[in-house]
Amino acid sequence: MKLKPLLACFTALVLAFMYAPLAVLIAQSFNTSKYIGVWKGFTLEWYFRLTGDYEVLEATFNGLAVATLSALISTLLGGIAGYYFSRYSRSGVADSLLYVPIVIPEIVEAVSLLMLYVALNVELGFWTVLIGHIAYNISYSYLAIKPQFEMTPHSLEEAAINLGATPIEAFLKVLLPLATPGIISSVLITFSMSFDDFVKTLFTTGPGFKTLPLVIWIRAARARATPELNALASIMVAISLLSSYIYTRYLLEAKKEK
Amino acid sequence: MSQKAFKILAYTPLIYTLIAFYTPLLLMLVESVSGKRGAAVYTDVLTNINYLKVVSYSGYIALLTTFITFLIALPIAYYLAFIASERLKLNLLIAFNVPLLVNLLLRTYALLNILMMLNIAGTFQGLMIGMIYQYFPLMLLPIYSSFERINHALIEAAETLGARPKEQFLKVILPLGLPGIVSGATLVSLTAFTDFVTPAMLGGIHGYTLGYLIWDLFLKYRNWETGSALAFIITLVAVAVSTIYTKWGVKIEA
Repeated sequence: MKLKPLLACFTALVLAFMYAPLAVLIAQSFNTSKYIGVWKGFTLEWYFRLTGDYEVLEATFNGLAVATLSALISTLLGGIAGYYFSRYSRSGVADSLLYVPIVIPEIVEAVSLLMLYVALNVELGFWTVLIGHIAYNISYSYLAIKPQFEMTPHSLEEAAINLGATPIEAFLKVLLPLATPGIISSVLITFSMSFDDFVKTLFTTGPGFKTLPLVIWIRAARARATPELNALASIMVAISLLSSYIYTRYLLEAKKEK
Repeated sequence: MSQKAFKILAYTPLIYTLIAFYTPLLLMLVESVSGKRGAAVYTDVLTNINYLKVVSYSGYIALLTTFITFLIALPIAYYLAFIASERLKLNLLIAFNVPLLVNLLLRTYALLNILMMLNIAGTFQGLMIGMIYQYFPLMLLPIYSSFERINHALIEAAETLGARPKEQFLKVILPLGLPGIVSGATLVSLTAFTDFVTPAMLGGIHGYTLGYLIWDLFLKYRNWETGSALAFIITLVAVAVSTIYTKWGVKIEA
């Protein structure tokens, strides 16, 4: 028995298993037939129908708004905290406080947040969803950015200041560029977690505010043959595949350079 | 920016987390014991046979998922770390990473299509295929990264000293890869235990797990007292398990 080809085959097989559902989904979105596995012919009809689907368009816009805001706010606040606690203060307490949100099951976070909103009697919708997303994302930003500042030796800032830079210039021109990989990771991770979030959004939203995962859930849970959903899903899969390909490529290449 | 304003800004995330994360948890704890039963709600939850059934069923699914994903991930991690060329390794890593970043609901929906094609949607078998699909990458990456760190000289030394390939694997590689295995197993079992989307969408009548129960207690039965108690118990379990994880496991780099 030869081990190498066997392992190579197994790896290829598992990889095929990972991609098969996505491939079928995309093929199905161009299928004239509504039934999966029955190929009747090529059509773009489902994509055209999608462009007139007001619910989907609105949900996309809602999701983009929440994800953009929560990514920027979390990265800014988490980044400042990461800088402060890596330089000026002991970070034990901050580290533990911000670590717990990451390990708690999302459903627990979702129901407890709902209870807070109900206790305060606030109207559920855009703001309650955004506040919930930030609560979780800040921790990720902090954890992504702080190590970058920690890795930069103090001597670099001191050198800049000795050469005549003000502390703010030293920060903007020396520290910040060196922390860029962490900041980019933070923005991308928090944006995609926010845009893809389902459980917390579901529990903290009101009747008038839906994001795409909620629309997918509502339609798929009815278990009807919904070809428009295939088209929508294919577009989202294509975007995710492309952007995550670029992102992982960037990460791995960056790692290689070290 | 003055030093003081900077300090206030730096503490904002902590205050924010205290308000939007810790206060709700505290509120949940208070809610759970504020009913007529008081703290007895915890003994009620822990002795309720129906809840115990759901909890142990979720545990069973989580452990089964962990075990099977481990069996699948181990040879692939080995292949990636010790056999594949640098270039192939890079491409395979990207290929295994990418589906993980496709939205969870979309992945599940895509799987549902396939399971319907195979006529096993809504069966236990279909559910398990779904769970393996979702959680396999979470198992692979930590194991791979701890294999990757193993110094190849150690393996060569074992070989020189007469260890057969099987012994090299069992006595050198596996023990040194243990932190990654522990991380992967913790990560998978914990998230699979409280998963809601995969069982609910793919499992049919077999999909009534812990996540579903909490969902029902809150949104359907409006029994917040019991729901809170159950959620709080899970929180304690999660924190305990992840403490073990940080103590024994390796941290995966982003």
